[in-house]
Amino acid sequence: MILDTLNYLLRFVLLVFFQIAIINNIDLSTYVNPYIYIAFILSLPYNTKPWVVLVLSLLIGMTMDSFSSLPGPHIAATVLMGYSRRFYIMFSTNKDDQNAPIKPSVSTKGPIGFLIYALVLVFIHHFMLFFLEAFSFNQFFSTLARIFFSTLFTVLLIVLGQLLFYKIAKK
Amino acid sequence: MKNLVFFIYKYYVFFMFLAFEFFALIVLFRFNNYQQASFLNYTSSTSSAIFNTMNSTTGYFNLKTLNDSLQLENARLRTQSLQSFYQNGITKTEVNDTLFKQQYVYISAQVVNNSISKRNNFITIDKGAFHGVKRFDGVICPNGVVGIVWQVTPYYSLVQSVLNSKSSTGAKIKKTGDIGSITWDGSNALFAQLSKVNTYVPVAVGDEVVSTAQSASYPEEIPIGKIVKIDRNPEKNDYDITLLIHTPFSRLKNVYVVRNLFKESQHAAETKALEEEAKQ
Repeated sequence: MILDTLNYLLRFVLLVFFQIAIINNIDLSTYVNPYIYIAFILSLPYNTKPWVVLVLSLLIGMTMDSFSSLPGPHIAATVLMGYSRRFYIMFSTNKDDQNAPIKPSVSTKGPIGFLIYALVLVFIHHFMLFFLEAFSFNQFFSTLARIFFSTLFTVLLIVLGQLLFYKIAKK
Repeated sequence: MKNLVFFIYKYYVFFMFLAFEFFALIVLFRFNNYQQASFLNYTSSTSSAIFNTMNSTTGYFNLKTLNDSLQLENARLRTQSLQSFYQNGITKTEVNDTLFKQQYVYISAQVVNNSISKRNNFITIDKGAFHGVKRFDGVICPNGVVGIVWQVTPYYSLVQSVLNSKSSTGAKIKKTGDIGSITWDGSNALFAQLSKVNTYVPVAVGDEVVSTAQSASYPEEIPIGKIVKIDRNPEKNDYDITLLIHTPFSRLKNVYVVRNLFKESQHAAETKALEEEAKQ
């Protein structure tokens, strides 16, 4: 239990650091802004208490917001994603799994299952985030394009990271 | 009452969710509407310190190009300085110089955080109110305009970059002197848009676009960009012009905050004129 908590604490710090120090400095295009820190919320065990998920979403959202120049969007987007996660899990897994400490990943959900799980939740997060950042519905379609491409990149990076760490953990 | 408590208890996750979202939106709306960003004041000291450490490590990578551009600028400024002019006649020192009154003060600053790929890009610089930076001061770099100071904390400032949907920079075409307004459509950090230029103006691809002192934030004739594409706007009687921006936003490091000492009096004159117009 304590080991698990430490593991998640380390994950929190590493993901935030990776996001701020590396990903935020890669300016690929205005249409590609991946936000991989949400992998933290995605990887919480199924049986995490809903309020814990929400509080953690708020914390990581606030951390990201304090490193960005616009306060608010990351909190709103991550909390929305943390809240929606519960419904997706209820909908996609059986009762026994929901109450077990299973960590959603490529190895536990299978590649397709994890991919859909990540795509849906990352899309929800990015949808909220990018519209709040733009703060208007002008250029609706360019914001949508931004959401679409960034979602693809975030999911790609999260899955790659999972595969990498899965290999290391296996060794 | 008991039922209400039970109801809240049963759906406490939902209410928590609502409360958090409400909090986030309030913070965001306050930032967009109000001048004082309490959130920025609260967080900037820690996050800026971290950005500073990160910058001091990455700063070495482009030291050479930076030095070159600074040296070029120094050379240009040296040619303009008083010592490079031969003084013909007797020098006279006058404390109260009425012919030359200082209008612009430059404060050199370092970029500690920068983004170019968001829809609304901001730049954090390491100079703030303590160093004399005020809100709406212009920020330039050796190559051209950078943006407008948006928030000021004691030791840091947040600059609204030209690459921001809310930014609108007054500009003029250097050759003809006609004014327009620079905006950014968010698609590419290398190009900006110049609008409100009437179709009777003889513009050509390759013309230089520079800043104008009318906005009171920038001095006259700070370079902005070069015209690369001209489209006629069929609805309005003006051009949609695309500019190649001179400022290298992706590797911005050394900038200057421009403090216009006459700005307050210019604004006072303008608001007075507007008030008188409203009375009539």
